[in-house]
Amino acid sequence: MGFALICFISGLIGGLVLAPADYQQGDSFRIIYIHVPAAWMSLFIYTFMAINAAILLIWRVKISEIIIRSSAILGASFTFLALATGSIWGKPMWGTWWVWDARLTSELILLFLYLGFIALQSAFEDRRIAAKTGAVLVLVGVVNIPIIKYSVEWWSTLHQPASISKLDAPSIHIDMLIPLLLMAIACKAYFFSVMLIRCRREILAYESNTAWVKETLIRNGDHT
Amino acid sequence: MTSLSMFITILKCDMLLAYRNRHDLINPLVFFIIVMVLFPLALGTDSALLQNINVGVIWVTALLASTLSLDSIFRSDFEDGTVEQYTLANQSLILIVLAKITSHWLSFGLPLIIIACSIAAFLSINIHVISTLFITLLIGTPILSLIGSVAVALTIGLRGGMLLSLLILPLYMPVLIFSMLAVNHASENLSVEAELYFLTGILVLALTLAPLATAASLRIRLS
Amino acid sequence: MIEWLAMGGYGKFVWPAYAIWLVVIVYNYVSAKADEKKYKHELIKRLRLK
Repeated sequence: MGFALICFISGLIGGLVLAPADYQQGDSFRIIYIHVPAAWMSLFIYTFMAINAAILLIWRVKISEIIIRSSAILGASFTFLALATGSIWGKPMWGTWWVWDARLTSELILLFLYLGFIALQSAFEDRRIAAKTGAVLVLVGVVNIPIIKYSVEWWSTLHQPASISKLDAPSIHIDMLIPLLLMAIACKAYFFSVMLIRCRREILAYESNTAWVKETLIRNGDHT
Repeated sequence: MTSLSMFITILKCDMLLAYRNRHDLINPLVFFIIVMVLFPLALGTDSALLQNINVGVIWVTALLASTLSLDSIFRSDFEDGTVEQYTLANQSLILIVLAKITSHWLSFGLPLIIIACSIAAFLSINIHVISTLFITLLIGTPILSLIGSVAVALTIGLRGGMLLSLLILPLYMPVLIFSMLAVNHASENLSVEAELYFLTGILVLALTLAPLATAASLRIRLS
Repeated sequence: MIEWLAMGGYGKFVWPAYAIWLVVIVYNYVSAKADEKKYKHELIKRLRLK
């Protein structure tokens, strides 16, 4: 968490203070430093969950169950952030909060996939069955994501051509790129540290009847 | 018992059950027609507007009706323990699942296609568009049954059909997109081949992977 | 400073975006921490009662 914090702060200073304003979009482009890392994270976390789902279903590694369950809410948060900041960015750029642009739409569908997973998790009493059914759902989703992405892209290019090309920055100035990368690293570090906190709690719940949990708790309980 | 005869036996049994419980079979279809009626009531009888949206309405309604009907694929089998027997059977569970999906499509998808196309004709949609609608439904509804079966297997025995629709509808979106693109192209007299190829591709993919995933989730649910 | 806050006229878009982002990020961290702590206390209580 300390590492994430350092990267966040340096990334934010670099992005908000040091980086020059974009010649087309002025200072509004500074939303990129939270929008793009959030969008990257939303995909990264889903892939991460899918890999763990495969590990869980093939090798039945118990820790993967816990990781999947702990990651989902963070993935949903980042997806929500990507959408929210994207739409706030869109207001001055496009003039409206929402356009049916390919990337926004597929990001929205990704949010639905996350929400479906979370809903499925809360529907079960038994954590282990919940995690395994969730794993199947994530794998089905991961097969679908490329199809969804491709179909949505096709659909939106036919419906409204290239209104988003302003966002496509093919070459990005180095002073803008460094803070962006810092923020991306920070988001990754943040995700892993929060996920591990959630994992700790889940492991305690899984193992609440074992001797080591008792010992650890009593030992920690004494000096807190 | 060979795999094929097992497949046919289950299919026959399910079709017979569907025929005996005709009222269950008719419900989603009545739902389909009712929703179709809601749109003119809500939007007024402006025929130009309705003309523009009615094929889209047909497809969206088909998606909704399919989520409602899917619940019945495994429900009764799960409740009376038949699913458990399937997993114990000396046959591939994937094949059994495929038989269940096929029977669902025969008892739901096929009547839906007929009704949708007759409604389309009733709404005086151009015949070229209707034929495209027919083809997209013919390729699309099996995909709906296949994808849906996975979600049903995951949520079986849980309360609330809301969860099921929440899981299924995002996965249905590509089918909807390609079908509607094809229909829109047809109404502008453009080629629809590309979209139909894509739909068929999705169908093949779903046909290979969905029974696998359904079988896996049934096993998980029973473990 | 004021000029920087104005963000060339885009301040009213940039800062809310950052605010939402900060709220979600902090909330996720704090809720995870709090949840863990609460659960630990619960467990300790349960184990002592036995």
